[in-house]
Amino acid sequence: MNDDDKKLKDQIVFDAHPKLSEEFSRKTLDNIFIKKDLISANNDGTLRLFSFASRFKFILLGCLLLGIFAFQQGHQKFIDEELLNVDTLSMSSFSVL
Amino acid sequence: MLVHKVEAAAFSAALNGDTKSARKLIASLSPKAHALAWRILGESSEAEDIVQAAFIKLFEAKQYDGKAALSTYMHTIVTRLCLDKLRSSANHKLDYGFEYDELFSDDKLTPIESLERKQSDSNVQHAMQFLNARQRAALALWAYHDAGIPEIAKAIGLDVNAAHQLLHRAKINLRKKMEHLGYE
Repeated sequence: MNDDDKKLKDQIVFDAHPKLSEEFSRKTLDNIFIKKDLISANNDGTLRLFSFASRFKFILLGCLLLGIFAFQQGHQKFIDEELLNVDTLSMSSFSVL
Repeated sequence: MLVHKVEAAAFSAALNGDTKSARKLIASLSPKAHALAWRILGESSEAEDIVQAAFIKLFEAKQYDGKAALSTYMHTIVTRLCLDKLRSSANHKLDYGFEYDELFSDDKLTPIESLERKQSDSNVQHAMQFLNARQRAALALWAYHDAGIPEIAKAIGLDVNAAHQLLHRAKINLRKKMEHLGYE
């Protein structure tokens, strides 16, 4: 390669280039592994799980909050019923007396 | 070559679902492939789409014997996808430089805006805009991949003599344009 060619090559290679977007790597992995299903199986399964979690994070968060709320309501109902039982029991004992 | 065996092993591991290997391959092949597509198409976002499509094609093939560098296959796919994209575009952009786009551009840029847009590009990219797509592809393959004439011919779909002439003309045109624009 002569000097002119080397200079031209350096000018092209060491010139300012636009950067790849931050999402590029993730999008490409998604395309290869999930959308196109090109790879038979993701060994550890982490990619599908993380991708699913990241895509539906708000829905999953909503489900979690609803679950906590439902659990809390159920627990409260249980406590109320227990108190009522105690109350009924004490009333019946009182009436026996 | 040992490098190709390592690449073949990484490719095979990625095909079997190893995300780490896939990530490494993407990280190592993407920058040059993106630069190549950007030189040919002139738009970074379009270049990203092409590189993604090229990765899909690479993995769709599901086989790599390690006889040549994986990047050689990747760059050939990227070049063909870029040229196909330009060939199928409404204005047949394959045979023209980007300055031709301005004739068909819908946005009415003022001369100052137009100048600013051009100045935001690098000097080399600005000068390359005046070459046709095949010349840009030949130059980019030669510069980024140290591609020889046979590789360039294969990637662009020309015979060896035509590829030799194309690269020679592309170098001359780029030098002339850079000199004309005062970039040398």
